[in-house]
Formats: sequence, structure tokens, C-alpha cells
Amino acid sequence: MSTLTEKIREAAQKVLAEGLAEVVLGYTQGSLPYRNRVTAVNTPEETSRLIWPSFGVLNPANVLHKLKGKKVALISPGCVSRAVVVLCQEGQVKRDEVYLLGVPCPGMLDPSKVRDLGKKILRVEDDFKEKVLVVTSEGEKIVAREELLRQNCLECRHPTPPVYDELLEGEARKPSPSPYQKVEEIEAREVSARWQWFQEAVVSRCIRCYACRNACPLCYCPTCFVDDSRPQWVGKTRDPVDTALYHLVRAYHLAGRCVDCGSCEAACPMDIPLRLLTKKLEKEALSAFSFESGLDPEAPLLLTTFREEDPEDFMITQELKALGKI
Amino acid sequence: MYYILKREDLRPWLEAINREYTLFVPRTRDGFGPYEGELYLEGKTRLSAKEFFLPWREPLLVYEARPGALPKVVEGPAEQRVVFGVRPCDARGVILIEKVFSPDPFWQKRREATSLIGLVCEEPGTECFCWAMGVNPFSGEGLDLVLVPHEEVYLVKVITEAGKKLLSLSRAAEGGEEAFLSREKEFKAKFPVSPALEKLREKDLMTIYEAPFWEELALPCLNCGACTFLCPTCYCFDVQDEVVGSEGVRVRLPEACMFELYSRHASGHNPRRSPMARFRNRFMHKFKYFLDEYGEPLCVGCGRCNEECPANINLWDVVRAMSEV
Amino acid sequence: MVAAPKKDMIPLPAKIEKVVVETDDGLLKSFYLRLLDEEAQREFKHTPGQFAMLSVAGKGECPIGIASAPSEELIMFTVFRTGLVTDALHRLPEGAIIGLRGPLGNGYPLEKFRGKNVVLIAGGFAVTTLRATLVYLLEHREDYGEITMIYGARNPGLLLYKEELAAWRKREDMKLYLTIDREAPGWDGLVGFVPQITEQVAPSGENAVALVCGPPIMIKFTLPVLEKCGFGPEQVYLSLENRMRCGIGLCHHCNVGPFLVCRDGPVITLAALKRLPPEY
Repeated sequence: MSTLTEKIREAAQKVLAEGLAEVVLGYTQGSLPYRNRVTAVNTPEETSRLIWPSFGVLNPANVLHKLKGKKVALISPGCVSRAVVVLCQEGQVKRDEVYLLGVPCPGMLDPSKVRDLGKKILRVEDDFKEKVLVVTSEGEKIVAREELLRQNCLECRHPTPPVYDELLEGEARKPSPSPYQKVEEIEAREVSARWQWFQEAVVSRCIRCYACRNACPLCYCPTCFVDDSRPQWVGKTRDPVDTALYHLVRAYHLAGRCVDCGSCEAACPMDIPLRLLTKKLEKEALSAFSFESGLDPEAPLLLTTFREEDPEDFMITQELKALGKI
Repeated sequence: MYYILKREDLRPWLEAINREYTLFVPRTRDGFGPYEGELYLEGKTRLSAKEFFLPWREPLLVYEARPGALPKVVEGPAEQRVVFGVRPCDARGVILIEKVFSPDPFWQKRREATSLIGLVCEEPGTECFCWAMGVNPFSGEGLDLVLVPHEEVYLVKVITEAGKKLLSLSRAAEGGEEAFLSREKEFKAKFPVSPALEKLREKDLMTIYEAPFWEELALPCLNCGACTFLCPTCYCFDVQDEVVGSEGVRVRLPEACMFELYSRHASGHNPRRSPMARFRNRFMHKFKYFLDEYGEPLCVGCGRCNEECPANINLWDVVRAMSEV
Repeated sequence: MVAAPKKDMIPLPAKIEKVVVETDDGLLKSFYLRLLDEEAQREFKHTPGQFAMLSVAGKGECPIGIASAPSEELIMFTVFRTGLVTDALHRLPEGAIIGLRGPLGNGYPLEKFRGKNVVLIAGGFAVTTLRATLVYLLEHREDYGEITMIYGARNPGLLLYKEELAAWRKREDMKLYLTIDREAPGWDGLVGFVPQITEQVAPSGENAVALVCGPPIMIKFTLPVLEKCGFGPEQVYLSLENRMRCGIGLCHHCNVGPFLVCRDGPVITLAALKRLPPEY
């Protein structure tokens, strides 16, 4: 058992016993060696179910809406804490209704990277530092953690939660020095090649199951634009135009909000690289406005703020037209 | 009738079929597509062969979008299609859906126009449990031919006349019955049938429905459509009118009972408003409503839901809870 | 007697011969339809309580109870303007062509009711299929015992089929109790909710059946009254509605537990309903 798991159980017991929260949201063992599951724990006895996961790929903040009216403690690595912060900023959650049990995050492993290591994966042992032992039907493999990490963890700028009520002891991954490498690879392509990538990698493979939307802790509209029937903005089949519209609007709804928890991509049953769309918007927010989401519950939101010095190079102006830029 | 097909004779056979029919094969782990050389045989595909019968988009009617215009009925695909590499669980799914869809003309047309060549798995996948759902992958149910990979050959069992005709395009030679039957026997011995189904048959419907476990099991569920869209037996559909310019089409498309919209009335009232109610409805349909009505569960044990569920909901956690309540 | 419904999803073209605005608020209109195909029109035979899918090209389809009786020349639907399709339907003029699929569902077992007293209890616009039933019963008057109808609306302007109501009121061979929720100028009839009026009328459950159609809240409070009057759950008939896509038992949207409203209903006895999950 990892010591982080012990610390989490201990902290969860304390939180429940002292009445700091009624429920603790965290992770438990999944049904496969490379899966973990979000779980809610209501009593100190049940805390033995909680673990620090290798594969905590869904953001438990997404379950908060099912526990309305209860004070909830969340096992919070950086991205969970940041999602809650955005929910607070947007008035969806009150800061004093949640208790953030911060965890300095060593990064999570990517289930599909582990799954592909053998025909049958029998056991996974993670030291949460350097190495992972994967026992497959063909034998044992020891793999460097770095090779098995989720892409969003490799690109994470805030492994340690920026906001918490209590921070567990532990060693977080170092913030990524090059979070936008993958985005830049796509950016470097010609417009037509970028469009082709979008069509092939995203649009043509999407089955419109909305797992990405439903997994997102920040997708909470009571009626999503794809579900509206009067007017019906988007068709419901796998028609490429409709599917493209869904993905573009989904990504844009997360501009200046997404905390890159990677739930969308992890949830996708077709393994579509959805994060690249939101990551691109994150990069824009950072470069244009020096803005990162989910760092301060009191801070204003990016899209509700205007400053004189904000760049406006995206606006269609006479000046730009005269310069021949548009 | 049993035959033996050498592994190296598979490609030439597929080429031969492709010359006479439209041939579909598993192309990548994603799913099936027209045969163009790519072939994925390492395991079952993410998307099942269900889409050949309940396609992602089935036009029913076309009409001119002006008042008084009379709709024209769309003729389904008539060309003969052959699908190679269908896993026996997927074929069994077709048989289960047919219990409901047999009167549907669009279904009938697709069934008549499609031959299925089955391929038994080299070994069961991590999450497979066809045996527990009463599926014998060697039976050839729903298939025209069934192939069993065995050492350097495929053992082939002919199920239908259409299958025999297809096999005649290959270099397969008669024989292999003994090996086929012993593989089948080995397989059966490995996997006993689960007692859960018997228990579910006897249980009172409302006792399961009202049981307290649903809330806890449904908590992590995202209520997305991943399980239903990947499932080879989920058959619910939506109907949409699509109008582009002056052209209108009424289409049928897969729908997930997990979606809030699925049961919402025009008035806004929703009899299954809570995420838990929708979660429960899916499992009740598969393992109680359908079981009671047709004598079999609406599940073939392919394990796609367990493998791909974003929230790691495990079917057996639910089935066990249902059968033990 | 009833022709087997067409088991496919292809609507037949039907012409709107007449449109009647039924209520003061204009939200309910009756559409009188004739199938373009003469043979199909001749062969269209339904049982009161059945429904049909009406479709407006470009908008979609929705299930609506058939408000006309089998003997009537035109097929009539009284439609509440509430969703995408009904909204489009309301905008259509007389002479327009729409699509019709049906009759669908089971209808009331009227043969089984022969020799019995029949009590029809309706609230709001759910009266439609009970109108069809009443017309049928009156045409076969000698086959049935006492016929009683209790029908309530929020105000007099929301009562449907006003001319027919006036005619039924005058008949000696049936009793009609009309009620509105609150006093209104010019209204000299009963005032009160349907359950209260049912309690006052106190129909006897002996050798009788009750057919109840109305909003959930009305049904909830009417059922205990009927029980007090001696109606067993096998004697009370309700009509369910749920979101529906196909109407022929395929798409599964309308399931109430194992019960498919389109295939096994919409008409159901209270006894059968009590055995189902409350998903309606």
C-alpha cells in the first residue's frame, strides 16, 4: 500500500469524524488492474475503500452535483482543486460547502498505455515515483513511470493544488516546462492539414455518446446546446458537420475555464485526443491574457473581465483590413 | 460440414469474396469498414457488427420541404454484403435484437442482404463473459460460417447454404471436425454458466427495482451513451427530421436510454428524471424486462461496456446485486 | 374488428379537412383528417382509446389520442400546442397534408364493458379519447348500462367540444357533470375539482367500470374516491402517455418497466399499473 493511500484514509477519517464534511469523494479500486473508480464515502469505517489511485482519470468534482446539499470533501490533486475553484467562481459551488483535501500529485498513469503492454494485464504496482511493475499474461515488465503517464499529467503546470483546506504531505511532480508541445505540433501544420487532422482524429471517429461532455466537471448547463430542440442547433447523427460543430462548441465553452484534468479524453470510448482542442484554448488564454484558470476562487473569470491593455488582434478592424491581415 | 482453411489462404479468399460481393472486415480496433487490405484480427472491435443492421443513420423517408409534399419511402440497401470477422457474441446480439425487430422492414432488408462470417476469439479477452450469458461461440448462431483459429489453420464450420457458397471461393478442404469439436469442448469446460441468470428469473421485478443498491452503484455513472452505443444488443433508437435547403429526410439513429432527453415529455415532465433512474432502467431492461419477456438476457457477454465505461461501472457488480437482492 | 396496425414507420399522407379552435386560449385545436388514399381511409378502423403518430415533415412525429369515434367519417385529433411537432401542426391551415401512422396501441376493451355501467372521468384536454368512447357508447346505447361522464376544466373557456357537451347534457340516457375549478362569470354549472365532484356524484362500483383520463394530480386524487365508491383496481382503466418514437414497440422510449405504452397500452387497468414501476 502506498503511503499516500494511508494518509488519505487517515485524513478522510478525521474529516468525517470531526464533521468537516459529510461525504468524502475520492477513488477506489476498479474492476480491472488498470482502472480506478470514483467513490463516495460516508462513514469513517468506509474510508478503507479509499485509495490514492494510479488511474484516477475522471475528475470527482464532476459528481458534486449529485451530492447537492451535503458538505463534501474532495481528495484533490491540482486539477480537482482547480475545477472546484472554477465552479466556485461561476457560482455553482460555494467555497465553504466543499473541503479540499489537497494532494501533491505525482501524476496519473494512462490506462490505455498500460493496457497495451500485454494481452492480459494481471497486476499493476506503482511506486508513484519512478517505476511501474506491470504483470501481464506474457510476463513481468518494469516501465519508467514517465513513459506511462497521462499526457495531461506530462503537461501539467499545477500538480500541487493551488487552493486547499488541508495539504497532505507528499512529493508532487515538477510542473511541466513544455505544456504545449503537442498543440504546437498541430499548430505548425498547414491550415488544410490541421483541418484534416481534426476530421480524421476527432470528427470521423466520434460516436456522439457525450462521455466527454458528461465527464467534464465544468459542463453543467441544465440543457446542453446539443440537446435543445427549439431551435435545434445541431443535428444528432454522426454527420461530420454536426459532429464538428459539437466538438468546436464544446471546446469553446471551456475557453478560459478548462483546468486540463483530462477527464474528457479519458472518458472517450474511442480514445479521441479531445484535450488538444481545449489545450489550444488554454495556450491562447495564457499567451494573450497571462491567464490560467482555477487558481483563485475570488478572482474574476477570464471571459467576464476586460482590461484596456487586452490584445484585440482577433477583432476584425479597418486597420487590420488595411494592413491586409484579414 | 467442417473444413480446414490454411491461414495463408485467408487473404486470397477475402480477395475472392470482395470480387463478387461488397466485403466488410474489421479494419482497426475501432471497427468495421470496406475491405481495402487492412485487417484487424487481434481481438474484437470497439464498435460491434450491430451497425450493419441498425446503422448510425437509417433514412426512412425523403420529402421536399414544402407544404403538401408527399414523402417518398427510402429503399434500404439491396446489394449483397458479406461481413467477415464477426465475433460470435456480436452475431448472437443480432439474434437477440431480432426478437424485437423481426417485423421491421428496414431490419429485414438488411438481414436478407447480409452474410456473416464469424471468427471465434483465440482466447477470451480480459472482460469477456459470453459463456456466462449462455452464448456458445462455436455454435455459429446468427452466422453463415464460423472460423476457429487453430494452430496454423482455421477450422471452419458451415452453418448455412450461403456460407457454403462463400467458402467455395476458398481453398478450404474438408475435415477438421474432430479438432473443432474438441476445441468447443475445451472451451465449455473452462466456463461454467453463471448462476445469476437463474436467480434473476425467479426474482420479483419490483423487489429488484426498489432495492437500495441502485443509488450507490449509479453514483459514478456519467449517464453518457458509451455503453449503449458500443453494446451489440442495445437497440433503442431516435427519429429525427433533418432538413437541408429544400430536402428533408427522416432518419432513425441509435439513442441511449442514459440520456435525460430519452424519456422527457414535450411538457418537460420526465418519468426518469434522475440519473439513477436511467441507470437502473438500462440494467432492468437487459436483465429483467427482456429476460422475463424473451427468456434470455439482453446481453452477449462481449464485455465492451466493462472495458470502455469511462466511470468503470462493472456489469457484474450490478448483475450480482440484482440477483442477490 | 380492428385492422392490424401497419408495423412500419412509414406515415400515410392525410389531408387536414377542417380545423376547429377548441379553447379560448387557442392552445387546443381539433384537426379533422382524411387519408389521401381512399382505400386506406375506408380501412382505417380503430377502437376508442387508441392513438396515432401524426407527423409534420421537417419537424417530426408525435403520438396523439384519436378523438373521433370509429363511425365518424373523418379521423379527428384534438392537439395541445406544447412541443416542436404540435407547434408546427397548429400553424398548418386547412387543406395541408400531414402524415398519419395508426391506429396504434390497444384501446378500451369496449366489448368487455357490455352490460356494465360506464363512468368516464376526464380532466382538461385528456378528455379526447373519452369523447371517442362516449360517442361509441351512445351509438351502442342498448349494449351498456348507465353512462356517466364527469368532465372538468380550469375554466369554461377551456372545455372542449362545447356544442356536443350541450347536446349530451340534454340527453336522458346519460348523465353529464361538467365542472370548473373556480367560480367564473356566466357559469351556472358545478364548481370544484374533478375528484371532489366524483365524490359528490358517488358512482357505484357495482357492475361498473371507470375510465379515468387527466393530469397526474387529478388521477392521484380521483383514484381513492373511486376505491371508496367500490371500484376495484380491475374496474378502473387509465391511459398512459410517455415519450415515444416509433409507436410500434421497437424504440423502447415509452417503457414503464417492462410495459411498453405503445404496444401494451396506452390503456391499462389500475390493477396492472400497480404492478409496474412508477415511470410515467
